[in-house]
Amino acid sequence: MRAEQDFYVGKVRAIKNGIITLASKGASKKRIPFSAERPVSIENGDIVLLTETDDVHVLWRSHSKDNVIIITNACNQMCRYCPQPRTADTFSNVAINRALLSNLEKKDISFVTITGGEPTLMHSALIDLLKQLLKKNPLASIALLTNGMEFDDMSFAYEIVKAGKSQTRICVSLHSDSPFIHDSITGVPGSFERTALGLLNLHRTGADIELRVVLNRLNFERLPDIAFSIGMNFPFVSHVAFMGLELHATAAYNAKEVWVDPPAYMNQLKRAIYQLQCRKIPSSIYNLPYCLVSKSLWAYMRDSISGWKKTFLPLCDSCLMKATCPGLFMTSIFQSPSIRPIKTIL
Amino acid sequence: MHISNSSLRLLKAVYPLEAVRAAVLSISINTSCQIEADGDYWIVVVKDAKESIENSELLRRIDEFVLRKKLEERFASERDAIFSLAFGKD
Amino acid sequence: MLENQNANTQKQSAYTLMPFSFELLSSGDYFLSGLAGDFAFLSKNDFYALVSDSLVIGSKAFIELEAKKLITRGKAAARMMTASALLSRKMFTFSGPRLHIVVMTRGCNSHCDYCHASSYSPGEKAPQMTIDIAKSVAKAIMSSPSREITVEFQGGEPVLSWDTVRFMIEYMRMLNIKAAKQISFVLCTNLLMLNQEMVEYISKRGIEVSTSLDGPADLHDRHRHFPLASAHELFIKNLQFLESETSKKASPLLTVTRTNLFQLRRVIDHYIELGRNGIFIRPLNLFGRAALDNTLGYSAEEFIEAYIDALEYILEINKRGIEFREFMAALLLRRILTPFDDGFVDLKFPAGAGLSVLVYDVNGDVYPSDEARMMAASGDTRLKMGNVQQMSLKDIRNSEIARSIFKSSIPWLIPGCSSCPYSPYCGVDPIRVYSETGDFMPFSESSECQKNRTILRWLFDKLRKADQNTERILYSWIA
Repeated sequence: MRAEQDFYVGKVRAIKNGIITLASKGASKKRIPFSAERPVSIENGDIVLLTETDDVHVLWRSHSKDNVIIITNACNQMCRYCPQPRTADTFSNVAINRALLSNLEKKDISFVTITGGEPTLMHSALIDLLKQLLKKNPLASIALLTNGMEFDDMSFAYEIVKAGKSQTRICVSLHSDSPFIHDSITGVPGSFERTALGLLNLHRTGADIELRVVLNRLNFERLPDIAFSIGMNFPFVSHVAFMGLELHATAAYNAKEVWVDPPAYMNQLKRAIYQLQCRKIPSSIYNLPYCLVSKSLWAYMRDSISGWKKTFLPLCDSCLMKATCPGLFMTSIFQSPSIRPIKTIL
Repeated sequence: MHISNSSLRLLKAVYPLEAVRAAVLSISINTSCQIEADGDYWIVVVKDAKESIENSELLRRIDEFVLRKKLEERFASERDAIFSLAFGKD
Repeated sequence: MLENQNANTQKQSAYTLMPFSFELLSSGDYFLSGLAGDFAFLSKNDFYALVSDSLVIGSKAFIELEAKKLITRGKAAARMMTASALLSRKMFTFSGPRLHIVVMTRGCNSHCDYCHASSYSPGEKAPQMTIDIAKSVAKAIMSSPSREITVEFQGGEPVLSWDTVRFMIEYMRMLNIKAAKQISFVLCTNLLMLNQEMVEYISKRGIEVSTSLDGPADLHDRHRHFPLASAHELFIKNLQFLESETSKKASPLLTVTRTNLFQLRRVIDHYIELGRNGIFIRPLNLFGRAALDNTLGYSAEEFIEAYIDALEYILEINKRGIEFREFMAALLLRRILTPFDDGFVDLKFPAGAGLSVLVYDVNGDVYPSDEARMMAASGDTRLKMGNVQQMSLKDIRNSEIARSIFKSSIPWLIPGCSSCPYSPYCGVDPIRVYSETGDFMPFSESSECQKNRTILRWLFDKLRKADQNTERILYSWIA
């Protein structure tokens, strides 16, 4: 589909003889040469954005569970460890997403994550997006990543939960049990207050809620307290995800302030996860490799780093666990000095 | 049985009579307590307490009682707000 | 000295205090708890700073107190969260009676020295519940608004009325086709008369078995007398028989008398030998036969000391890798660590008696608790709420007695309880108070209160000082 702007969004129909053929709803086919400068992994069925300067961006990877729709780059917080580069929204964002959506078929949308910036800033556009996705595939599994502040408005919470039906899991970031620490991380006074109210509102409307806690220097000491607070204040959540740090963008800039070597917080993490388990709240560990996680917690680990972001160090080649390891963020400016190959599983 | 002969001189303005009585009673029900007025002061004499009690501890209990009363007044409206949120118009 | 007590003058403060109660601990620190059970420990200095509105924003104490919603800078969230947890804890007040204790017969096949539930000797003909009354009781139970119902068959020894027990269960299952409640059945039995047919039926219907084990043979048989054999020997045999057929493990409870009070460790060892995963250490109820015998009783202090020693012993056992818990302590821990309600009706604010639990006597008379029923059997019928054949359950629940009990058990209206920081986790039994004082109003100098406070203090202290291993064990008990 061709909009007023000069970009093209199409689905990869064929890759042959060094040429990628793109097809788009309502527009003509395009053929682009496949060279070393193009992103290496493009597959049939992927949806690709071609800019007027001939840059190619993969918007959607077929057969991937990690597909992401960035509905806005704007955010109403300034988290110290945000890995998302802060850029302004351009009018083409909305148009590009529209084009992406029109090229998606039912079989493409099994799993999708809606994120940003802060997606709830897009209010009605977000509601529309949820409706459209579920119209195309009523069985789609949607994860909505958010800081939850906008849900302190009960009617908005209701609208989102209604649009997302039982298919949407709302993943809310929680940085601490302490409003003081949480607010100092988000940079927004009163953010904890709004997020807490948002969570209560979401619960009242029957939402499926996950809490996401990013593990970093500013909050790791209180991990067991965070688990305690979740158990007392938000016991209705379906899941808690403890996330390893992606040292990119703002996080990279603040590395000295936010980075902590994962082995330093393993004990606290163990306590937190065990507490939640006793409270019958399931939890997982995302974005950390086996060597940095205590063996007793391996069962909680998930292979969560998107394929195209995942990397290993050369010394990982001799590791016994590499094949199933979640790996490392390619985008992090440095990796933990504690990474080492696992030579024996005893 | 320990006998305590604590005797205190307390400013009436700071220590209301009920605070003094309640604090003494908290030692034990059978404690005998004589409270006499002397101008701006109470003279408190405690005898036959179940435990041996220091003046400082008696004073602490009176202080605590006064604090509790003040906090209770301070909390009243917030408590009501929470109750009506929790239980409706109960 | 508590200086700076200008708690009355609301200084322009950067934060507000949320309602809390407090006490000074023997360690010199303060223990605080909020309306819905959020708690914190503070040093003396931090406590003084708190009540004089001079906490430094961002200090350790500030961070901890704000996280616990004992102070707040915004109002709405702290209020909502507290209200939400409070409602969760007190939801039972609005749900209707959930536990229904049905006395099938006054007769028993044994004679236990401390028993208050049966004054008939084994073999003596005793009143039993008729089918007609059983039907009325069943219908009354099903008319309770509670979605979850537990029916507990007691006596005397209910298996002496086994046919009526079976009838009631089938009748209620039939009534439930329409009512669609979640019903569970519990059979309180000494397990001394058990046959194949009973075991099969218990297994088929998933009936939970509640039974008594006072310790190894010498301790158990000392007060529990079965005419035909050693009660202990027969109990063990039948327990194994029962568990070979059913998938549910029976949880015995322990009645503490002077005989086993100082040998709780032996009792616990015996429970573990029998493969139990826990024990319910239940203090003696000073009624019925027990009141007649001074050799059975003990003081609150004696009980507390022995009970805490038992808990320490159980902790040691856990540290050796054996999973074993004491159920009362586990229940209190759950109240401390979670905002949820539980089914333990004997220790609630407002009182569970008449509100969450009803007791149906053999003749259909309804009482707010087992104790009330036994007092009526001894002549004091003031506590009778009504009769299922004459009144609807709704009217029974609305009786004068029920309302008096309710009014006497609102924690914020009871002097002593209203300022006690343990009240979110505690409760009262106005019937017990009535039996001791003739009045329903609880008082904080009672031995019940002393016991509850001491045990809660001990649990909080354990939690506060727990190393990682102990923390794991304590948390495992709430799972």
